[in-house]
Amino acid sequence: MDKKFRTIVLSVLGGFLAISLIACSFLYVNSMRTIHTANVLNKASLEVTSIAETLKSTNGKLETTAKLLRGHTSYDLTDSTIIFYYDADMELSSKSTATYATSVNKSTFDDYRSYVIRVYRISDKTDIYKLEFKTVRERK
Amino acid sequence: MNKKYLAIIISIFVFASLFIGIMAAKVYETNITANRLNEADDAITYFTAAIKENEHLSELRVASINRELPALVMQNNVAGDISETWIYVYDDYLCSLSQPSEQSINPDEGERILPLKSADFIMLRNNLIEITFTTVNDNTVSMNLHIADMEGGI
Repeated sequence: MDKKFRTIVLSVLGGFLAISLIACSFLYVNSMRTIHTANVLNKASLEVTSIAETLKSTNGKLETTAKLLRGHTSYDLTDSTIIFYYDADMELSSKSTATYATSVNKSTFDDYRSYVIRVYRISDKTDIYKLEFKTVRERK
Repeated sequence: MNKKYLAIIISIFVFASLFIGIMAAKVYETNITANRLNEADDAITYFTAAIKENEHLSELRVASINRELPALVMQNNVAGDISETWIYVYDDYLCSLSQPSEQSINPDEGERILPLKSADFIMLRNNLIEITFTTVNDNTVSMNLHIADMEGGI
């Protein structure tokens, strides 16, 4: 094998290796990002379901709902809205360190109550998960 | 010069192989994490189905087996025939055991549903239950479930 041919073969192999490495790195970073997104979405859906179930139990009483949810000690509460805060891994956190938030908005009508539960990224207010449902109001 | 060039190429190949090997291990680890999520999802689905499917027929309560194992008990009254379904974690498995009411419970006799390390049940209100469980991969999940028929719910 002459020197020139050997150089070409090694260069082709080196180039192939470099491209493979770049592709592997790209796929690796993408897979990590995807699993993190899936993890966050998974926790968000569980959190929203749990909040919705608790709201049904308390007939829409927001403060009682917050107290019945495990670990939810820090939240912002108004008459019709409650907001919980979470870190980048969707674990409960304080407002100052939060990446995500879950807001519960309640609207009361004559015969029913309407709820919108949104999990959103605080930085750009983009929804990552949302659930809307209605409950019939109890007659006294 | 040729030997040096060859040594450099071989070194690059060796390091690149190591790098790819490490990345493959990380991807494998990532898959394990995904499986952990699936395990938790399976348990969530089972608990939700067990409670929601039985809420019109059953009286639901929290109990313990031999004062050690927390258990969820659904009492079924079908045409006066009363039986109980006990759901608990025993020997690293979520188990279900159906038998006539008032019969003593032997956790060994339960049907194995899926692997789970532990589970705890708390009745937060008459119509709300908190279920906290830990999967075999130490993923702990807590969820609240509303029981519609137990307090004229919605």
